[in-house]
Amino acid sequence: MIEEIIKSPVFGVTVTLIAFEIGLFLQNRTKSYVVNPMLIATSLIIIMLLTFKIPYQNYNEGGKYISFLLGPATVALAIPLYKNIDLILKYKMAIFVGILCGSVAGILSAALIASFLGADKTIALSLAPKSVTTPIAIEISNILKGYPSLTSAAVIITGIIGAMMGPEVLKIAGVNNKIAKGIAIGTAAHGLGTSRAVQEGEIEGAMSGLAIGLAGIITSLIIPFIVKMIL
Amino acid sequence: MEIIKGFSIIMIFLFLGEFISKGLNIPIPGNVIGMILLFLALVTRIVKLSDVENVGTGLIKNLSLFFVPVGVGIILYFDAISKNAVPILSSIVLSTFIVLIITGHITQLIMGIKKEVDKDD
Repeated sequence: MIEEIIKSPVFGVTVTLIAFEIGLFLQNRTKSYVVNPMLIATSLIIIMLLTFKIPYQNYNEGGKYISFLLGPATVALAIPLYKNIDLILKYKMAIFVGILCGSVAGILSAALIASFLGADKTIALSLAPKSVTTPIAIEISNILKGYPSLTSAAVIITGIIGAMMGPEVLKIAGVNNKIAKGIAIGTAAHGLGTSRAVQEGEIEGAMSGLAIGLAGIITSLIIPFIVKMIL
Repeated sequence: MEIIKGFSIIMIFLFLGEFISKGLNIPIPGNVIGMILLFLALVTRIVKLSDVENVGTGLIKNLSLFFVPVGVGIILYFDAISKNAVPILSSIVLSTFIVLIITGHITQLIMGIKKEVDKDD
C-alpha cells in the first residue's frame, strides 16, 4: 500500500511542503540566511530519497505539480518590473553594461577555471552557460557540443549558491545599491537567485527578474565567440 | 473570483509565451517571453495592475518553494559530477562569486556616474 502512495502525486507534494515548512521553521529559529528554506528542503528530500531508495521519478510525480508553478511565477515577475519602470529606464545603460560585463566574466571564468583544474574541453564548455536559466543553458550546451545534463546540474548548483550566499557576497564586496544587487543576483544565478532577491526587497526582486531574461539573451548571443577565443 | 481572474490572466500570458517560444523555435523559455509580454501589457494598460497584483505577488513570494523539486533533481547528476568533482564545483562556485561581484560593481559604478552627471545639469 505504501508503495502505491509513494508512486502517486500525493507523496511528492506532501513531502515538498513539509520539508519546506521545516526549512522555514529552522530559518525563523536561527535567523540566519545561510539556513535557506529551499536548501534545507532540497537536502532533506535528497537524503530521504537516498535512504529509502525511492527513485526521483516517483518523487517528481508530485514534485512536478509544485515546479509547474515556476511558469506563472516567472510571468508574474512582470509586476515588480512594471512598478519599477522609471528606475529601469533611468538606469538602462548601467543595467545593460553591468549584465553584459557580468555575463562575459561568467563564461570566461567558468570555462577557464575548469580547464585550469584539469577538466577536459567538453566539461569546460558544459559549464560556460551555468549562470543562465535552464532552457537557455541547455540549448547553448547543445550548440557548443557540451554535455546538456552536466549543464543542467551546473545551472542548479549555481542557482543554489546564488540564493544561499548572493546578498552576503555582495555585501562583503561593497555592493549596497538595491538595483545593482538585484541585477547581480539575476545575472549570476537566474531564477533561483531571484527567489532569494524577492525576499531582499521589491526593487531587488524586480531587477533580478529583469536580469534573468537579459542575461539569458546576451549570453546566448556572445558565448560562441568567447569560447572560440579561449578553448 | 479575483484570484481566478488574476491567475487566468497570468496563465494566458504563459500560454502566449510558450506558443511563441515553441512556435518560432527560439531558445528563450516561454515563461520569460510571457514575463516580457505581461510587462508590455501592463505598460500599454491592456492589463490593469490591480487585476494581477494579488495573485502575482503571492506567486512571487513562494518562488523558492517552487524550485525545491528542481533542486532535488541534481540527484540525477551525482554520477556525472563525482567523476570531476573538484574542477566542476570549484569552477561553479568561484565563477558565481565573480559574476556577482563584477555585475554588481559595474552596475553600481555606472549608476554613480549618471547621478554625478545629472547633478551637474
